[in-house]
Order: sequence, then structure tokens, then C-alpha cells
Amino acid sequence: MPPGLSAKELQDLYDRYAPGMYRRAFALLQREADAWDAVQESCIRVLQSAAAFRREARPMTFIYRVTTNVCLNMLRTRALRDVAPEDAGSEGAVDALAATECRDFLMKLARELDERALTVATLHYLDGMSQEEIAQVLGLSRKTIVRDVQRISALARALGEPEGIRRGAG
Amino acid sequence: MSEHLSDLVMDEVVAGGMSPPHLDSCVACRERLALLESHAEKVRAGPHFARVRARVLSERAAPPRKPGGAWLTRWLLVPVLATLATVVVVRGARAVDPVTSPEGPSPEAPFAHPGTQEPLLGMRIKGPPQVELLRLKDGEINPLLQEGDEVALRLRSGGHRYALVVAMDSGKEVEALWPPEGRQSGELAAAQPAPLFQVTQGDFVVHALYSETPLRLDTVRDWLSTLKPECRAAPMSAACLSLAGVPPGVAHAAVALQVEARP
Repeated sequence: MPPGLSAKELQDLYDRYAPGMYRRAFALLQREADAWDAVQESCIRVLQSAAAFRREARPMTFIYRVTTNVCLNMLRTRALRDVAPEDAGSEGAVDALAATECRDFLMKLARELDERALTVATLHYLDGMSQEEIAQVLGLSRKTIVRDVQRISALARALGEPEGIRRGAG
Repeated sequence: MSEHLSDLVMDEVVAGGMSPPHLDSCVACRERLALLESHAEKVRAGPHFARVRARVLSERAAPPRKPGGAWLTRWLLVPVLATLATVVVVRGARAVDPVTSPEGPSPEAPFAHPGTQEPLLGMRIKGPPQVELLRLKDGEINPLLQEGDEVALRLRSGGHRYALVVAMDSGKEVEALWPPEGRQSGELAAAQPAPLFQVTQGDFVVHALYSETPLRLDTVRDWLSTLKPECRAAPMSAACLSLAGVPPGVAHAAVALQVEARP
């Protein structure tokens, strides 16, 4: 492992960011064990990319990017298995009903979108991020995100976007 | 702009960042922040928080994994349970992964090819036979690999019942990758651990032979020995998928990969 973060720094990073990572991972994965696996994997990736993480002007965007990607990859792997979501009530759930509805909708979108668009959709619908924030998290231009969100929104309407689902602002 | 703060901003505050002035004047955002803070405390007090922290710290302390003697060695450290019966995830459009680089997201759709209407979980997705290697650290499919990269083997059987997966190096040496016993094809309907590997330096081609009855490794070796030299390099032409002597009903898929030395 490259000596990018000391044990103390890594522990501080974990204590600071792991609860938020876990909340978002649980919202996407809907299973406690999987969500903790995602936290662990995300932390290891941050550790492996310590230099890039240090360069981030806004570290939380890096954390969101890594966690989102890890979770989407896990959902893809889970497509190899038949895993049912856990019942609400786990320590992971903050907006249990909304998150479940949102995740189900994202899975519907996943059949139609490439990965970048799905990542954008996740940040837009699950996290309620603005297009500016999504651009920051993904390191892409605002223009690109605006185009992506327009395309995703059109598709979402066609697929029957749930009424209660929250979405990011422009 | 939204009238309320996003969770990104809220998480920054929960993680000890600056509190935006909006919080002073917005009851809804203060309530949301209190909910997230309370949730974070609950998570920290839960049984898994310390356990995962210990694992993360132990990962930092662990020595780098050494590649094995072969160019592609089995990686047994992560027993991910997956069934090859449904190893049918298909690729999406190529892009760049956002995890370790800022350029953008990674190359494939997490569940299915854009445009497919197939259900996602536990379902077979129809499509031509295919074999892919997924790099675990970023989800890239068939990337230019570096020595030590950990990869997962993914198969799309095209509806065939059996598969035999082998790797051939530039010296035409053939090594069985899946099933683990490697002497003949394995049944894809049987639950198997997802095959994970760690690569070492050198180019190689992974061949998957799909069939309705088991094929013997020796037979497959004979077929592969008929390949022309240009079929052992990346990229491969479609003509390389034609193996002499392969009977009807046997499907062949292959992917050529390059493994660079780690700088």
C-alpha cells in the first residue's frame, strides 16, 4: 500500500466520513452487510488514491464519487446474484421509504442508461444534488451535466418518474 | 438553485465543515441536519463501525500483494459469492471511471446494456457469447492492465449450458481458468464462487468455449493450437474466433489483454 495516509489520518478520515458513506451506500444497496462492504471498499480506494484525495479542494465530492461508483459496481455484481433488499428499520435507513422508491427507480433507469448517465441520475435523484454539484463530484463540465440531466429527465418522465422522488435543482 | 441545502453540503457540515449561513434561517435544513447528525452518531455506536474501521486500518498496514509465478494467478483473498449461472451482465458504452481519475465515470452500465428491457436481478440476459475481465478497483472492462491488478472473470454464455475458460500466453501456453478443476467444461447453472485473479506482467488471451455438453481441456487445446499468430495479440480480429475443428453448437469468445509492468 502506498504510504499516502498515516494510520492516524486514515482513522480520522474513517471516523469523519464513514457514517455518511454508509447512509448513501445503504440507500443504494438496501442491505446492511453490503453497505458496510461498500464503506470498506470506498475507504480502501481513498487510501489507494491518497494523493488525489489530498488535492481535492472539496474532499466530500471525492468521497461521494468513490462511494457512488463502488455501490453501482456492487449493484452490477449483485445482478449476478438474487439478493432481496432488507426490511426497513436497519441502522442505515434515514429516508427509508423515499430511498427504496428512489433506488427502484434508478434500477429501472439502469436498463436504459450508460454508466456515466446512471451515476449522474444517482446523484440527481438519490442525493438531490444540483447540476453544479454533480459537475464538481464527477469532475465534468456543467454543460455536460446539463445535457445528461435533460436526457435523463426525459427518460424518467417516459418511464413514469415517481411523484414523491426528490431531484436536484438546476 | 434549490431553496434547501443538498445532502452533500449537509454531509460536509456533519463531517466538521463550515456551516453555511442558510442553516441559521432555514428550519427545514436544520431539522435535516439534526437527522443526519443523529444518524451518524447511531452508525458510529453500531456494532459494525469499529469492525470495518479495523479492517480498513489493517489494509493500510498490509504489505503489497505479490504476484504469483504465473502471468495470471488465482486470487483467493476475496470469496465473493456469485453464480456463474447468471454471469450475463453486458457491457455498456466506454467512458472513463470517476473513482481514481476525475475525467468521468467508468465504462459500463451497472446492470444491463442500454436499451435492453430485460429484468435485472437473477435473470439471464440474452446476447452473443462473450468473455470479459472486470478490473475490481474501478470496474473497467478489459482495460490495459498493470501487474498486480485484480480482475474478475465474467462470462456471457449466450444460452449455452457449459463453459470452459482458458488463458493462452504469447508462447501459446494454455492454462485453464474456469472451472477451477480445469479438465473439462463446468456447468454454468451450478453455483460457483466468482473467479477472481491477480495478473502478472505479459500479454494473454482469454478464450471461453460454450457448449451444450462438456468439452475436454485437451480438445480445446488442440483447437486453440490452430490459431494464427496474429490471434494472440490485442486487438484481435473477428476471424480469430474461428477455430478449426470446432463442431456446430460450440461457441467461442475471446478477449486479448495486455499487462504492463507497474511503474
